[in-house]
Amino acid sequence: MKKRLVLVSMMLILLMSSAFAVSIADGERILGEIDELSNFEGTDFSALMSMISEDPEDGIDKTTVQQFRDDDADKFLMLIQEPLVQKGQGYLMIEDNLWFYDPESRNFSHTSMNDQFNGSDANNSDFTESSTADDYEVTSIEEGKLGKYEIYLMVIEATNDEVTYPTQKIWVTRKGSLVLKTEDYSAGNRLMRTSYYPSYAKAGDKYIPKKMIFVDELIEGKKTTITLSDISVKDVPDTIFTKSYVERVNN
Amino acid sequence: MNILKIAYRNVSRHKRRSNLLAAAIAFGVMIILLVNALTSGLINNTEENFSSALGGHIYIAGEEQLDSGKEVYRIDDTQVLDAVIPQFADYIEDYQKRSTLNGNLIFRSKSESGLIYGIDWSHEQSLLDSLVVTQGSLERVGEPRAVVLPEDVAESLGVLIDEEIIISLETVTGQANVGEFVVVAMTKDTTGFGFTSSYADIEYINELVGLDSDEYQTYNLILNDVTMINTISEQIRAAIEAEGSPVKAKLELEDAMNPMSMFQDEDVEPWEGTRFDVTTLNDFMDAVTQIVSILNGIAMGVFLVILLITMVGIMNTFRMIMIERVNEIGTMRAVGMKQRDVKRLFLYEAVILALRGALIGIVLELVLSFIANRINFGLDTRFSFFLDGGYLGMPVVPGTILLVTAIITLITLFSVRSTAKKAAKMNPADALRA
Repeated sequence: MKKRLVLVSMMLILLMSSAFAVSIADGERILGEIDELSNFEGTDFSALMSMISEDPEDGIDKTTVQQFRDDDADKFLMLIQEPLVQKGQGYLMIEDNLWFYDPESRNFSHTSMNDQFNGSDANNSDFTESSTADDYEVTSIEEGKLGKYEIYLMVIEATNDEVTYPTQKIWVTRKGSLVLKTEDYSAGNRLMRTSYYPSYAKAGDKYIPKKMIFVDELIEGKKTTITLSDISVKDVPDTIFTKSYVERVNN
Repeated sequence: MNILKIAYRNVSRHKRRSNLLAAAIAFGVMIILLVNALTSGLINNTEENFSSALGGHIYIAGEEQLDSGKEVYRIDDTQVLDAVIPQFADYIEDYQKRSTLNGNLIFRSKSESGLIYGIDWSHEQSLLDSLVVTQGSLERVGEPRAVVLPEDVAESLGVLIDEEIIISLETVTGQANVGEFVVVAMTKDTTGFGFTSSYADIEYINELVGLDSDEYQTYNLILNDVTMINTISEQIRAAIEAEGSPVKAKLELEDAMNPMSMFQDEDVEPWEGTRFDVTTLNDFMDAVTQIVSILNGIAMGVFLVILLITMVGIMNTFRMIMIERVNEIGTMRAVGMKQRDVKRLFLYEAVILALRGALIGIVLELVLSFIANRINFGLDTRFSFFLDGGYLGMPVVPGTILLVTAIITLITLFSVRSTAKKAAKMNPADALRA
């Protein structure tokens, strides 16, 4: 009788623990939540980005960029305001096309979402609509702590060979599914970049990282810190996401 | 024969005057031949340097469209080229299959963007021969992860032989990747002009950019005869199309010459499989050929001005000669010399003068070319791309020498023609009385 009681208790404990254990399916759900929280569907988004790039060779560069996003239409525009020598340069994305505009040559040239933004450690794709749930699948998930936050640590792998990083590790808060840290790995599984998202701002019913720190893991001492201000979810006129606007704004 | 002797004696009689005229002709001949030799050498050297830097005379690249519409650079339909290239075997001296990695070379806190060619070392003896090693050894290129770096890139990174560098790159589909290389040799950039390429084993490059070990991105052909480049490349384009594969439209010359065209968007029509792009050494040489044409034009202008001045000089000199020799002409006519012999006498003198000047000019040009060809301008100059290992390499062009000599002779004859006619038509009695 005693033996049977012990066996039943053990089975119950096992069942209960499996019921509470986090699964790959949970991870997939969390990826969906991450996308939903950071994508501005049904509303537009604009903010002023202050970008400080630290390079051990080139020193410190400060850039100010006006950012506009229309996620419903797959469009964004990033207009460089400072430094003065770069004023007027812009990155315009319309669906799958990303152009860089240089007011000096008055020409638009195609560029890649995978390229670094203005020589910083941030990629162009860091400023677009997030599609993590479509592009990645969860290969492992575990609970843990990052500082004072309780998190899920997930390893995600790309489902196609066109995303920049084939493997990522992401630290997501258990409450609210906010990404606190990511590690980006190369196709050869070498750590290339670590990103930190220490603070978030609420924009409408969405959350956007207010501060982002991108650390280059290949070049010693190279990192970029981005701070957002003047965050708004007010409608941005469609005319802003056009080549003619980018040209006109420079005149 | 006697007239020729008299003509030679007459030319030698007034040495100073004849020498001055010959010197003017010689200067013109020397200038045009020097510039011509310089531009010929420039074209030859640039062709050779381009061919060496780009790995051949005809370059066949391939691009594919992924389902997402993204274009990736690789030749997947290798069987198309396997069927096409053997058709031109008689014209092909050698071939090279290369892959390319474009990335950020990193050593500690320093980074430098650069291009690394993936090379099948066992098949690139001409490249190995053309590289000028300043440190390390090319014998080590077969070692795993070995890379040959241009000296200026190595200096800029602060890396030494046997040290390891890392390279941040994108695969052909756009994924981030990182490669690790060991520097085994550093080379002098003999091409200048920004052609600072690095070289590594094609298998490792393929692994990094996401290609199979036997795949490649460009198929470079070295022809037996460089004058056949355009013909063979057009035939290759047609043969690829005959195999059912699309070929990228050739860039028009005016677009190729427009530096802004590379920043402008191309209207892309969708295609299936590998779309081939056939470019040639001549596409890169067009700009150089234009510079050379301008130089030749300037030289021809200088030559014509010198010729004009010389023509006027010769014309006036022979008028003076005629006036000085009125009595002499009268005497010669009185003792039986015919009108046509008097004319021939003047014309022979002009020919002797022209040939003497041309000969002096040719000798001067050959001497100056010989000296110039022995000056080593070094490999660090801005113009090293136009040099053959630091030397000018000015060739002797017999065709141009003969042409210039013929032009000079004809123009001199033309200048003297009217004076010779006048002298021939002179009345002997009047001439003797004068």
